[in-house]
Order: sequence, then structure tokens, then C-alpha cells
Amino acid sequence: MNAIKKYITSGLVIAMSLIAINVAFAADAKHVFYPSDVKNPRIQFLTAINGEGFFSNGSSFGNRFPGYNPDSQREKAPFGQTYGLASTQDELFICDVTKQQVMIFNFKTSTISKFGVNLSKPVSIAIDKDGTRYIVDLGNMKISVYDAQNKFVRTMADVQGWYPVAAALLNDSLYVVDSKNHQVVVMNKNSGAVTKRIGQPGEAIGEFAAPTAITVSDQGLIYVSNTHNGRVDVIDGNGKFVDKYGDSPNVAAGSFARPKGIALDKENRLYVVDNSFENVQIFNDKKQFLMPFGEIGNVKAGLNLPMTILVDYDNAKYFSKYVAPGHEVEYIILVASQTGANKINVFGFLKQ
Amino acid sequence: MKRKYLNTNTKLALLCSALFLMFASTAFGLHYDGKCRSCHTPHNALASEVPLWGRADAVMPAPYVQYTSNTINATMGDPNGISKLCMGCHYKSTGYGLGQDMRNDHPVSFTYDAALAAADGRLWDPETTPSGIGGSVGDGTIAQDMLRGVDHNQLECVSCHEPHDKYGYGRGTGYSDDPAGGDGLAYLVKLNDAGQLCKTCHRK
Repeated sequence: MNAIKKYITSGLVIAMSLIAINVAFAADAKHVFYPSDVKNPRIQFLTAINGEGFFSNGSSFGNRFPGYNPDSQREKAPFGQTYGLASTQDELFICDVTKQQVMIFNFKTSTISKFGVNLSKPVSIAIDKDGTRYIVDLGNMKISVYDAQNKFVRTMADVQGWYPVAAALLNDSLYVVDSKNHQVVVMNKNSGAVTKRIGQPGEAIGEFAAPTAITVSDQGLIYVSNTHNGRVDVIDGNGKFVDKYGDSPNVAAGSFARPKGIALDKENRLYVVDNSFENVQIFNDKKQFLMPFGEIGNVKAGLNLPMTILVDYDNAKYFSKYVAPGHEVEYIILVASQTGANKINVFGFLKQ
Repeated sequence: MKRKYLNTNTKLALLCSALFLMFASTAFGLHYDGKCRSCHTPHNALASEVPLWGRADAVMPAPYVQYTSNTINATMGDPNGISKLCMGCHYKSTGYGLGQDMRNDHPVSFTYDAALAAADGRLWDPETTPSGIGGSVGDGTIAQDMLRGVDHNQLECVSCHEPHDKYGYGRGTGYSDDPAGGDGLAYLVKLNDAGQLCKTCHRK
């Protein structure tokens, strides 16, 4: 009789533990919104991409527990250090500096392919309309060009010596951020010939201090993350100063301490990653501060020394399963961090 | 009787401060371009902007916190707290790297205490071994002089590197302009000829 009682008791304990686990996961499954205090938030944290297990539910436990949260899965083939991000229809390009390769996540086929020969530190990638890939290889101090079939074409470099850290395309030119000489080097995208050098070291207008990122608007304006000057500069295709976001490094909201990755959406909202605040701040096309987002630490939506950002309209539909009921996503925002548990955090910009 | 406002020690301290400020720009010039603000971001000089999105009565435009130590589950190699300040610039995706591959670099943001020394067997006990740094730091133990955190048991970048170059060892002999090269032994807290900096903690 006592034995039976014991069994019943242990059964109860097990059942209660399972309920507790379930509740814990349910709590973890709570959606993260920005702003968090309004009925119609603008951004939702969707998921994190931490490695090659993204498509395969790479959990060693499987999905056998009720209320199991895929976010808590253990990644079987984790990324090394992810930096440059780019996207095309159905495909996300991820530069992995440690694994010295570029990975392509194809959301349509749920497959991953890799390319890159003799890459040393692929930190950034720009993809042309015809599919040509320009990989910024900081280790080799070269731009490695690959065609749309991922076949190596050629390398390009500035013979004067540089630290190429990011690149963007506009018309026939490749604009490369050079953090060594604190300038933007303009190259012919086909020949690699340097046609212009924009800026010089310093703090004044038209000067850069350790710039790190670049992006181009649909109107042909070039945005440069002027990191140590604590601002984002807007220049035209000829390098003429047009405007700036932020003034000098400051911890006040709407300012920047160490701006790194930048991205624009189709409404010319500017997203600025701050490596120091470990958040992302959004500004509208009138330069008004809209809001910050991102958490600190190894938590959901946690950014740990965030570095690069990508706004992606093409592949938003593949993330609909993460979107909270009653919401729809217009585009996704991917933020890659230098360290921490979450390598690439994916946020969704919600339709209003 | 004339009242003495400043004693000799105070005068000396003031003189030293003045000299320090005069030469500071030269010293810091070695580390980036003499801009304190690269690391010491000004606080509250500007009013924080109110975000347009969000309820006006519940917005969060306070000054941002930089590099809090919230990465509670930090594992070896995940820079934490103060080392994050260094990692913001000295990392693989910037030209100001820490050598070619972080795996070859010394780990940071981990607990180095008597227990670790005992378990490892090839480390000196930081709580009893002198740091040998001397100078203005004094002659404390490794834990007192080099380890950080509230318990003085965290090894961080600044355990061995003093970014203001207070000790005057400069960029180090291994410095190279090549982002893939250089040994990164810059601004050390003590000379590393014959590896004496390494040997502060490592027993052979």
C-alpha cells in the first residue's frame, strides 16, 4: 500500500514539474514589442538565427515537450562571428569572419550553401542588381568579387593601403569605407580603379573618424556611419556633404556614442546600431527620433556589442510564423552582434 | 602668521596634474587620435530627445547606459563589462583588431581567484602573489592591482593594458600597421621582456 502511495506521489511530483516547465516556457514565449507600452507597437522581436540549425530545428531534444519554445533550442552548428549581412529574393547572405566564408540561407528551399575562396576576414558584403557579390575582406585588405553563381571573378584593392570594412553600390561605383585613412574610397565596380576619395581624418564636416558602415538610399544619397565622431553623415554621389544625424558622441537618447551598422527602409527611416548603448535607434526622414529598440544581455532580443544591421523586405514572409497574432510584418530587421548568445536577432516592422 | 593654504604634497599633486594634462594629448595621441570621447562619452551635455513613437507618459528617453554587466551567463571569451569598451573597436571586423584570430588571444572576463589557481596548478594565486607593477599603483597583489570587478577577481583587457599609457610603454615592439599582424602588446602595465608580464600570473 505504501509503495503504491509512493508511486502516486512521485507521479504527482513529475506532473507538477512538467506543468512548471510548461509555465516557464509559456512565460518565455511572451512576445517582445517596441514600444512596449502602446496598443499598436511598431516592432516585434521575432527570433534569433544562431547557426546552421536554423532550418532543421537543430535541437538535441526535439520538439517533444508541450509548450516547447524553439528559441531555447541548442544550436548544433553555431556561427563563428557574423558580421556583414545582405539579402536578395529568398536568400540571406551572412559573412562569418571566424569561419572565413559567406553563407547563403535560402528560405524557399530551407537550405544553406557556402562560398568564398581564400577569404581571411569577410566583414561585409554588397550585392549588385545583377547578383554580383562584392565581399569586403579586411584580412586580405581586398574586395573579392563573385558572380551570381558564387564563382570567383577577381579582387580589387586600393594600392595606397586601407582597412576596408564596408561597401555599398551606387550606379557604376563601389563606395568602400576605409577605417585606416578615415575616408570613403570610390572605385569603378568593374575595373576596381579608384575614381575618388571622400573625406579625411578629423571631426569637422566632411571629415571622418574610424567610419564603419555605409548604405545608399533609393534617391542615391550615401549614408556613412562616422563612428568616432558620433554621427551619421549623408553625402551625395560626388562626396558633397548633405546632412548629418547626431552631432558628437553623447549618451543622450537620439544621440550616438559609437554608431556602427546603419540601414534605411523604403520610407527613408534610418536605423542606427549603437555598439556602446547596445541598441538600435530609428529616425524618420525628417531626422526626428522615433524610438530605440533591443535589450542588453543574453536575453530575448538581447544585443551584445551589436555591429551590423540589414533591412530586408524580400524575406519577411518567411518569418510570419513568429509574428504575434493580430499583427503583420512589413519587413524584417536583422542585427548581428559581436558576442553573446544571440548571433543574429530578427525583428519585424509591424504594419500599422 | 601667514596661513598656509596648500601644503607641499598638494602643490606637488597640482603640478603633476597640470603636467599630466599638458602631456596627456601627446600620450593619448598614441591611442587613436587623442580624443578622450572615443571611450569617455560625454554625459547629459544634450537633452535626451523624446521618441515620437510610444506613449508620451511612458517613454524612455533617459540617457543610455553603456556596457552594463548584464551578460550574467557570460562564458569564457564573451567580453563583459569594462572589456566591452575595448571590444567595441578592437575586434575582427575593424581594422584595429586584436591579432588575426581571437582564439589566439588571451581570454578576458573570467574569474581568476585562488580556486582557479589551485585547480589549474600552473597559475600563481592572485590573492597572495605580488603584481610587481609598482609605481603609482603600489605593490599590491595581482588581485588588487590587476583584477577588476567588485570582488577584484575578474581578468579584463585592462588587467594588462592601460589605455592611457600611464606606464609609458607605448604601442609595444610588436605593433604593426597590418590589421592581420602585430602582437597587440600595447600600453602594457609592465614590461614584457622575457615574458615577465605573462609570468606575473603564469608559472612557466
